[in-house]
Amino acid sequence: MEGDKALNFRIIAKCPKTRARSSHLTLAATSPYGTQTLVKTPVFMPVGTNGTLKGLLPEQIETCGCNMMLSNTYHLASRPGSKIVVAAGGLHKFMNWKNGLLTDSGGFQMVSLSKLMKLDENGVIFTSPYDDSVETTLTPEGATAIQHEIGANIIMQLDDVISSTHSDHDRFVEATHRTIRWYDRCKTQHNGYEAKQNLFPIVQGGLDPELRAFCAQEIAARDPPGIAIGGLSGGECKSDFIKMVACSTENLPENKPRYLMGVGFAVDLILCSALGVDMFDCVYPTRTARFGCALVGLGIKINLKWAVFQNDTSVIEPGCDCYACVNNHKRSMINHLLKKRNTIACHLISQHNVRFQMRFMNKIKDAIASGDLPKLILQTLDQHYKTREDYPDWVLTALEILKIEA
Amino acid sequence: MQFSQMKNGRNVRHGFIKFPTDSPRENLTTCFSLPLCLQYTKDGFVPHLTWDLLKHVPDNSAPALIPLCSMYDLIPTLQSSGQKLSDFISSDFNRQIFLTDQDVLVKRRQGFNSSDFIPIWTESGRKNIYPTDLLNCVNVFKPDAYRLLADGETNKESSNKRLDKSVHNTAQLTKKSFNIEGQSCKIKPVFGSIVGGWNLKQRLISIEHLKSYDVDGYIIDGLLAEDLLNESTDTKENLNALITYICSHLPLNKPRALFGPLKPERVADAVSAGIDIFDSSYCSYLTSIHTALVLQSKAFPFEATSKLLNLADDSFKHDFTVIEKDCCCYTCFKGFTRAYLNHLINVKEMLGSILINLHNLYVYYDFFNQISYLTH
Repeated sequence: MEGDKALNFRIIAKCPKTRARSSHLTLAATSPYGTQTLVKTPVFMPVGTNGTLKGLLPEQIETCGCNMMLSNTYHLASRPGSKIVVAAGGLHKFMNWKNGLLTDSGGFQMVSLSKLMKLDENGVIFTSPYDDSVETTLTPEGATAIQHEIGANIIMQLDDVISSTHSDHDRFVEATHRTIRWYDRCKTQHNGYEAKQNLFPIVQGGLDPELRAFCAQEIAARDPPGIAIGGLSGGECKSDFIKMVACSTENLPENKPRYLMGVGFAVDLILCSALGVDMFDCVYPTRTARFGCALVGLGIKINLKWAVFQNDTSVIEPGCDCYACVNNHKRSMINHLLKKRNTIACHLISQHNVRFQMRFMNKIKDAIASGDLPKLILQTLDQHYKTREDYPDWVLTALEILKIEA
Repeated sequence: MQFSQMKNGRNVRHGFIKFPTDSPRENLTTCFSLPLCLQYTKDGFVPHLTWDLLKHVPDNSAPALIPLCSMYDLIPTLQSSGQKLSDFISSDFNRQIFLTDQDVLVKRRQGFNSSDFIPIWTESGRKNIYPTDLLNCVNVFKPDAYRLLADGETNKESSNKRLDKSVHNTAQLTKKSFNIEGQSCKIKPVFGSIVGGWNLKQRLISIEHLKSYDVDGYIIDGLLAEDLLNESTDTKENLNALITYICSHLPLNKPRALFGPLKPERVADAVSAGIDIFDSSYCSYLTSIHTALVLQSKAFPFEATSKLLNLADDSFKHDFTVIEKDCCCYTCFKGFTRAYLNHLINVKEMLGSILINLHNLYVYYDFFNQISYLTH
């Protein structure tokens, strides 16, 4: 690691045809328990909400080829509580995970899970979903301090989250400016932690390209170690989403990792990678596994509960190198376990799906290096849509921005 | 099946058991020292654990105890695949299979037993299994050992009339099993069941009846999980007396099995009484109630006392020690703390059960290995 930095970002290949890049992202250890972690981007980070990735042992997560995962501050702060995580020696030690960790600020869950009471310049006041009578105030300083206690390698600023489908433009302007001010407050709070943990600001700006560009430039001027693209994946139409991703990456510095929050479908991953995003996270692969769905090919979903798999003795995906497939766990056996509501089915499909995401990101990395990313994009789209006439508008918009001919 | 046993200075049976196998896989363990503890399974897996994780449990690849009720729905699939069950589950399963009909941890509805069939509950409801059905299942699953149908659905409160019925039903089921046209139970090894609840007289009738059939081993049936787990001194002493009595009437040259959740102290008693084969269902039972097993004076298994830690208890919230200091199980050795396990239980995360079961199985099998070491 260079000097007193907690993050080193080195681009190792650039796609000659799109904005995609692949890089080596090195994270310093945040505690004696963690180790320095080399993350190869574009990277998908699975989500271990409660300080555990849905039924997988840390060594099984590593076996999937994953060395960077996410955990949710809001959940950890509610249960077991950040004081317990500190007393345990930080989240790495508590959950026995020595590799990379990223925590969100808790702002998103605050809006989605809690009863939001009041939001002003100071912070947000909300009530706990576990106890209605308890009111909590979360300030930018507080959100940062909790994340210092948890001790992840990458932590997020508290942002002023509003739904991207909100109709009041003035509210977006206010939220964008406030998010920048809150970043400054988080940064002040982060003083002294820069050599261990990386505080990422978040680009807001709703669906207004000018506001987004302004926010991106303001934030970049403050020289953060990396930057998150936020305020999306909140129900806006996909065309708006992809335009805003493009607009954000266009206005962000080349030499910093860019993290797009809450994205995990194959088509979204490859198109956003092409637009220059380096990091993604989503609950999708592990959540869909709990419903019996496995990911195959270039991101096609099959539901192993379906009766067609009852006598299917092939593995989830022939040729896959995940634990479940290598050890010949048959679709019919998983179908049987799902019918019995046996959690082993979930363990097997989760391992396959996490491995699937890693393999898919590896394909993207290889394609970036070889200059074949446009080809891989079209192959992926071919699997997801019957004909090119079936491409949805947002995909066409993305292809247009990327100057890829369908 | 080969079975060899003798008594040592402590008057405890020891020896080995070897289940024959028609398709010897590389590295497949087939010879086991006594007492043997089978791996309790549900739907073909040890609860919460994929088979690779069993590398962390010192069970010497003990055969899996597979209840028919958890696999019955797979029969058409297996028939169409033409594979035997042990090859079908997964390639890292790599162990032998002991097939029984009921799951020892599942409480069953009473009143459906008869002298023609036994009821099992599957995903598609109740199925009546006749002796011919069992034989068909054995032909499809190809287990390495199995048990004949028996009516062992009796508990401590069962009336004399019910016990009478259970002994009669079992006798009839055994007789019918041996009289299936063209087959006559040639598939070996096969275990017969001793029923009769807590009544010594009924047990004796059951033993006498079974002696006229060519079975390879005996299962002491007719004891339900709730009675095996009963902590009262009275039950404990009666159970010990009952098992001792039954074993004293069984031929010495055949193995005796007792399936169901037994705490280590009961296992030690049962080994002294003459039982050779057990199963690991006690671990899964404890795990299901978020409880970890800790054994004191492990080096002297016959004097060992078990202590239970309910990890869901609030007192573990701030406890950053492992379940048991110096324990070599995966969970303790890797440093997963009581506080972390308590958190996983609180937020209902599946990893909690995985880690607790790995610990429990380690302690239980380590205990069996100590007994076996001491008696040889």
